Amino acid sequence: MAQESKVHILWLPAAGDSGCSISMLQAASPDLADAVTDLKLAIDFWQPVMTPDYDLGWVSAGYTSEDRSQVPLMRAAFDDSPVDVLIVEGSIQTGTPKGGRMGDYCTIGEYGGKPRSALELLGKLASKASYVVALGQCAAFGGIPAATGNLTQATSVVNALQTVGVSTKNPVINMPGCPAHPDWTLVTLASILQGYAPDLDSKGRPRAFFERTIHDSCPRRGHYDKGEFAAAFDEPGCLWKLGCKGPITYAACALTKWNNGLGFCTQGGPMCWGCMHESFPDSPTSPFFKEVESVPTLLGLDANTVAGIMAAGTVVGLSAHAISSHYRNKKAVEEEAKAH
Amino acid sequence: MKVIIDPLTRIEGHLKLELDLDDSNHLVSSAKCSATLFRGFESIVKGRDPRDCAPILSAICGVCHSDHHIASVRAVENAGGLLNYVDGYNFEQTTIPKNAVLARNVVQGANTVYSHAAHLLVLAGPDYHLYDLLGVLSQSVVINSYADLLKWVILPAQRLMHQLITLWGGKTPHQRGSVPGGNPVRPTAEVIAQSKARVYEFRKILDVAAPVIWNFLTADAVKLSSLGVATGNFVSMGAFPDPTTSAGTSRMPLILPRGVILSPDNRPTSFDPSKITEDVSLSWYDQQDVVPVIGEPTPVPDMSKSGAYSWAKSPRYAGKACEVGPLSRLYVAGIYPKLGSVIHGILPAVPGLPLNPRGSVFDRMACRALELVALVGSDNITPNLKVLNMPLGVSLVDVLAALGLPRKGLIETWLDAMDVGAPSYTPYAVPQDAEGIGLWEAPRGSLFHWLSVKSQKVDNYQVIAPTTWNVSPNGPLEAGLVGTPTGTSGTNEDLRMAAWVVRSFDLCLACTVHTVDARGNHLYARVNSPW
Repeated sequence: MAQESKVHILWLPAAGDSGCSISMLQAASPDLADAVTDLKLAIDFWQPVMTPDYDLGWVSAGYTSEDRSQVPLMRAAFDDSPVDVLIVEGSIQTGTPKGGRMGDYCTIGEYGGKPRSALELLGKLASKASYVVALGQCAAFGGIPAATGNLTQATSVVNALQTVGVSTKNPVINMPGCPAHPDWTLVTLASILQGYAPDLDSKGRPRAFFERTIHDSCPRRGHYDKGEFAAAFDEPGCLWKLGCKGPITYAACALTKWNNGLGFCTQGGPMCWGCMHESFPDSPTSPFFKEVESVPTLLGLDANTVAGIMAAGTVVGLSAHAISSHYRNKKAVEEEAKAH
Repeated sequence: MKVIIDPLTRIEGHLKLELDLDDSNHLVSSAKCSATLFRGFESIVKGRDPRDCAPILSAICGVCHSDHHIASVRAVENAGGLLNYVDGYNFEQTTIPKNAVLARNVVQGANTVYSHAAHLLVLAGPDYHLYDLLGVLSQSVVINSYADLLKWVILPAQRLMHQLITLWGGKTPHQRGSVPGGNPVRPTAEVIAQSKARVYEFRKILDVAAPVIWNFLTADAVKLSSLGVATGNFVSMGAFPDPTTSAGTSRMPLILPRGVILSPDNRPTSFDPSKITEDVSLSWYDQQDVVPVIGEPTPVPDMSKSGAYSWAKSPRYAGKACEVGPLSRLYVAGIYPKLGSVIHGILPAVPGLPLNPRGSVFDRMACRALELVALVGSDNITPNLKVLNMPLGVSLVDVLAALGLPRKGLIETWLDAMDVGAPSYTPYAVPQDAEGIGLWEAPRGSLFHWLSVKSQKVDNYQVIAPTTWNVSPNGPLEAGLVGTPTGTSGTNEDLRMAAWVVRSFDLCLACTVHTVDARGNHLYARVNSPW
């Protein structure tokens, strides 16, 4: 596989749950097999789905001819094997366990007789890679391992690189979500491999998939506009009052949906949990079952006020949308300016 | 000689395996397994709204991505009085609608099917060169390689099961469909039809694949049943409550019952969660003692503790190291032994199943295949099944009939039992002060969630994940590895059988180390197996 291909991809498994790996298997058009073939990818290391060439992982030095220095992950990190795209799954733990070293809450193999932490490997690989993709909520924003109460000082790839003072050749591409959306990820990968610079927003996300809130395109939106709010999770109506985080979460879930377009969290699920929001799973995405009170796109009007206005007159409702839309555009321009 | 495999690939998560080889007898003399990631979920959910635990703990594992979510929801429902265990823990009573019980069964069933298929074909399959056998799997495309098999069979098949979960949970991985009180989807004829179509598509693949896999495994049954022989103790915390009996949701039996088998008595007894303890004497925590898991404080890491060599805690039932997984489930349920008597009736020379009453590589793999067929059903009436290469003269459909399992598979029976248009959710009120237990079965084995609520917030939360039972210090995996033959070629092939043993447990390390473990440090204590 590796010999014939040109684009070398390494998949660094940090403090995550492999959900993003499993998510990539759900990609539909193209599917993962076609992406690998058509983009001429050489996936040099991807722990859960290694081809039979590496099916024992590897065995300690001195036991067989295939000693650990031959392992693609270590060769890329410590020798001169090329890394074109580094995909990081999981958050990076920067804490020091009692009796251990910084980053030792997660180690991946050994090199030179020492266990190597995800933090150390990230530093080595990220400086070398042409592109770094922080895949999933944990890598992009810290996610659940970095939530309030965590003991490991888990954080995002960008923050971890800052902590260890490593810079990358290109801005880190954040693909948030628990898990990351497979189709968005493969499309983004395809575009950078064809030489297009990714169009990232101020939070490092590909703008195309994170430009609007889920609420904007929600299939239940018509209910919201009519002031119809669901009182139970199995009822029609806007889920806002039950705690839906669609109004504050910027993502294209409602447009592309998931798993071959079959559904997403307000269509088949109980509500949007805000899993692509930078603060997930902390405030304001949680408490999850508490309604979002203040939403910037609605200029501080809460759901009750808006619903009242909607019931009172469509004209006012329409102008509220116009204002929110204007506000969003203005905000995007400001963010753009801030980013440059 | 000491051999280290780190990380072992084609398992979920970060596992380091250290084996001591007996160079004169060519076998594994001791084994030590270290998980190498610590995230600390229990401290993350402390102080939160109990309902918020499920969407957070769901991320304990992204492979069994539905199970922790459902187990947590059930614990929270138990705390709020919506779910009660009846007759000890043998039956369940719930006030959530029947439709929600069935929808959770469908989601859990689909997750189990995908997980078992992934294990047999992608994770363990390559060890057995299984992909060479499966050219028959596509009638329309020539399968020449592992890549072809992935493209045309494995990826599409696993997508079908993920789509099925999405229909009832919104998206997947990490469907977060269940909430305390029920499920969001009121069944419609349309969503049931969409679901059945996916089961049907999968069944067509399985009808071709299952006999191939079964005949391949059973051809080598004698050798495989001598490998990976573990503790002989089995726990199943029970799966798939059945709301379709005349008692409805007021007294639901479990289709795969709760129970425990403790060696040397091979008969199942009732399960009692108060008998679960966690042994931390070999673990880097500030505790010294064996403590009951119910009410256990989350321990503080302490790598300076004398005698400790691992971050992994050791869950025990009645003080014993127990194995969990499909073998435990089908052994406790009596389904696997029943298959054994069917086979024995046809070929009296073949001993009953489990082939090894203490569990083995063969028994684990066979139960994974059997559970797949039980969930998905079969239309295959060709009498092509064999054991030890001897024809049995029976088909998959015959096997289901002999076991009293529905031909259309359990998932389809649950879809058929739904009440179209009826509610699937009932309101849930967070209790002021309460405790709750969520017992469930993930594809890889028993899942235990326990929480206590004080002033409507989480005061304490404890999880025991399946792989923790299996890889714990002095646990089933270490026991199963001891005595495994090794080769003399000086290549990786020498460890092939050890890899079979490890992967037969279908390990999932992300789950295991929800609270525990950093890495194999250099304080390697030699494990002298008591078995």
